[in-house]
Amino acid sequence: MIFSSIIFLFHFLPFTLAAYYIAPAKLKNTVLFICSLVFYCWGEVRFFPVMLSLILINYLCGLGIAHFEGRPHARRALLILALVGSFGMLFYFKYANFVLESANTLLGTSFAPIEGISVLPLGISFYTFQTLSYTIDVYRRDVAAEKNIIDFGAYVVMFPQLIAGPIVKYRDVAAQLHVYKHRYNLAQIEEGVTIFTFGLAKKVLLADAVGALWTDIIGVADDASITFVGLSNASTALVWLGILAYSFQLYFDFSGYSMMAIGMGKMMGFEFPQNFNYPYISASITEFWRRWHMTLSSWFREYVYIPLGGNRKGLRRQIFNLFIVELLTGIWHGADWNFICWGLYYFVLLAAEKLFLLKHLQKGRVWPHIYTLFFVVVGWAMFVGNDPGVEFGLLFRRLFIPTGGVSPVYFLRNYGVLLAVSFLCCTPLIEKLWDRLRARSWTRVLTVGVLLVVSTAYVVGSTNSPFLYFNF
Amino acid sequence: MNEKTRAKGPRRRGGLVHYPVLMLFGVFFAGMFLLDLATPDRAVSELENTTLTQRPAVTAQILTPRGLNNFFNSYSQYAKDQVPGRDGWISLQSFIETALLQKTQSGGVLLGAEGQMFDRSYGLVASEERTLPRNIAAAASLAARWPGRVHVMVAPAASAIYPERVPAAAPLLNEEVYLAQIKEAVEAAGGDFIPLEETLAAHKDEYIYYRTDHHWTTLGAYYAYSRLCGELGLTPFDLDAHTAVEVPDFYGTFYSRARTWNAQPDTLTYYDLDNPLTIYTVTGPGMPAEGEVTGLYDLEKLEVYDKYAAFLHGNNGLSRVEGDGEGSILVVKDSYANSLVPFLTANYAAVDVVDLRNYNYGLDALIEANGYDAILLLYSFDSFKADPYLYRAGIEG
Repeated sequence: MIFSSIIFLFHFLPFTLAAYYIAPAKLKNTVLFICSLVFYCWGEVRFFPVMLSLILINYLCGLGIAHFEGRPHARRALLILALVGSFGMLFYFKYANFVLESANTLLGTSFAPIEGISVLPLGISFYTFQTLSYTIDVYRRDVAAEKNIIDFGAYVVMFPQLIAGPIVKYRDVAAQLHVYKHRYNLAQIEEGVTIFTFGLAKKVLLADAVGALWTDIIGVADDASITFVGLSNASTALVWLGILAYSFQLYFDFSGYSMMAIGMGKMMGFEFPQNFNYPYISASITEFWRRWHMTLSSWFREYVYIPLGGNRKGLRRQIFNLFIVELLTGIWHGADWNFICWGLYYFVLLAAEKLFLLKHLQKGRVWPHIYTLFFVVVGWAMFVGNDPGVEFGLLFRRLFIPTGGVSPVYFLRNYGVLLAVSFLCCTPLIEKLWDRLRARSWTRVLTVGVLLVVSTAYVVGSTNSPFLYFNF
Repeated sequence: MNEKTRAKGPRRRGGLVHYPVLMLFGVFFAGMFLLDLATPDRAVSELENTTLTQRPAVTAQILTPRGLNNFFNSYSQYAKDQVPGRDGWISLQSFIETALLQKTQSGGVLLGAEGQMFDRSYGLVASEERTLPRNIAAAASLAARWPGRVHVMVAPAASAIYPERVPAAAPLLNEEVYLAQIKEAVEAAGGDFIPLEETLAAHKDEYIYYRTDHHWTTLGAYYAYSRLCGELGLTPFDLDAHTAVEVPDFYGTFYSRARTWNAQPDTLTYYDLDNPLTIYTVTGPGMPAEGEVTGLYDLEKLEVYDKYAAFLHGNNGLSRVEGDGEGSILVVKDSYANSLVPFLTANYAAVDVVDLRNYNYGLDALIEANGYDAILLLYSFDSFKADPYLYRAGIEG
């Protein structure tokens, strides 16, 4: 059930919010837990046991770690159990077949792929990291172990951030989970609905719409009947336009989802951390990673980079730590070589900035932005390089060896206004506009109202599928 | 419009009336919920030409994982199909896309000059890459099996006749190359390929293609028919000697995809003829015995959206029109032929019409049983490149 679907917007969300608000204070977490489980199971019931065992492993290990205070071996053993259990599941579903396949290619072995795991359990990369933050924090005594399994379950499977983040650390919401009365107030709910509406608009009005330019070129993966230009027919200029559109899409999609999550969190009285902060206005790659998917970077910083020594053990060690973090970041994004390349590509850029480039970048005014955008966009080309319809080598040849073919003129004409709006929405100018609009009640209501209605039109409109196949 | 906005909101106190945005949000979703309850579920969507999902029943099946999955999926489908105001929302999206965002396409339909809509076809998709050569082979095989009788006409899409109306620089599929391939294969097999582009282009200032539908108009069909008559040495149907009936406000298939607010409706024309049409009940190869006798047009269809379905009562597997001429002809076709067949009544005593999508048997037994004087294979290029039924039935005979 994705957030921008009719079933979610007009059935699940209103019903869940109503039940949550009506429920007596003590039962709010139970309502949240049960509704979130329904949300989780809606797509694939068979992954229910995965979720249940993940909750149980981390819940029990957390309790155990607290219980064996003063016995470091037992605590460590339980931490390792939780790590192995959680990462084991993530590895099995997400990486096992990739590893087998790679072994077959590199070593000439012939392992058969594991059947039945071609579809990932919903949001597994996100909630594994969330539960791990809990167990590690308990182990480090940064947070008290959760005694109530309902409260813990509600945290793990909480539907707003379940499928696409932000990655909320347990300690960020622990206090609020135990506030039963007056968990939320009207001002907070109003902020929540506003942010939710903006997120929805970002997702359906911008991400999906501008993403169509990219699928015009490479086709739609799960619908082979939709016509497309084909990467091998497109001119270099068109491929650049396409990859630019893809970059817009990726940002609006992901940050729109995060905003919806943050908004729904507020509606229920939770404050989730910010996940994006205008990443495309960055003036260096270093800055980009401070603005893009901030909760993931912060997770890796806290649980990998700093424990490895961070920047406190000399430059050589720092570069090594950076390498590990970027490699893991790449692997986290997907089980394929292009994601690993993408991670290492950022390692090279970040290391170069750390070593010498950053001080030059700080002096520039315009070129650092162009430099950053260029490498980020090329990074997205790497990122999308193994998607269906894209061939990594072909994509890069098209991008960097000027070639003729289908020109971008028609696409610029068709998507021109949308591209301009997309550009605007990547900059803080859009926030300045909103600051103006929010000053008066009527402009505030009008803005949110228009976005809500128009987004609904897009959500419904995208499902218009007249049956035309030889119907007469 | 950033997640940070939360930090700046003034803290207001008091009742709900102090939170107008929250009230609006609540009213919107409560309103949608109440509308959902109040409006009855629809069985079909005429505009989308499809049946709509009904509320799935809760049965004991939901106790199994598979049953529960199915229930969830059908419920999502139901929610999608029965959302209140569905048609209105779709039109609103199309309005924003075309009026505000100034797009030149909507719902996968290109919006050209003078209200003309075009199918968006950037190139052959994978399935068409496989189907088109097979269909060419099927046409050639038919021509080879019945030498001297087979005539092939492939109607070009409107974009081939009106390139100047297509949105600027739109990368549309070039049909010419493929039409040449069809011609070559058919002629090599001893058949007669009748090109239509020049004939139709010569009449391009006339109303020969619908603006909002993917078919040619009755007039367009007439010019193609006249070309066929020229080829066969027949005297064409006399338009002036018959009564033309005009049906206004026809919104076709392109419209149901594009749903643009400013679409100009088409006018559908048919010639009032009283020739009987027999729709056969097909149970096996050869000539069936039983059928239902009716008129050439299904007049009830003229009252609804799908007006083009009036011609020949839609796409039936095998039907026969009794004409006023001599001899007989077999038309193997897609829906483009439906508006052309009525003209053939002027030339033949029997016009048999086969639509392979609804006719699961080979053609040879039928051709042997009736000994047709001519066999016309008539398709639009759009379905010729994609229709899997043509080669399945056509090659085997």
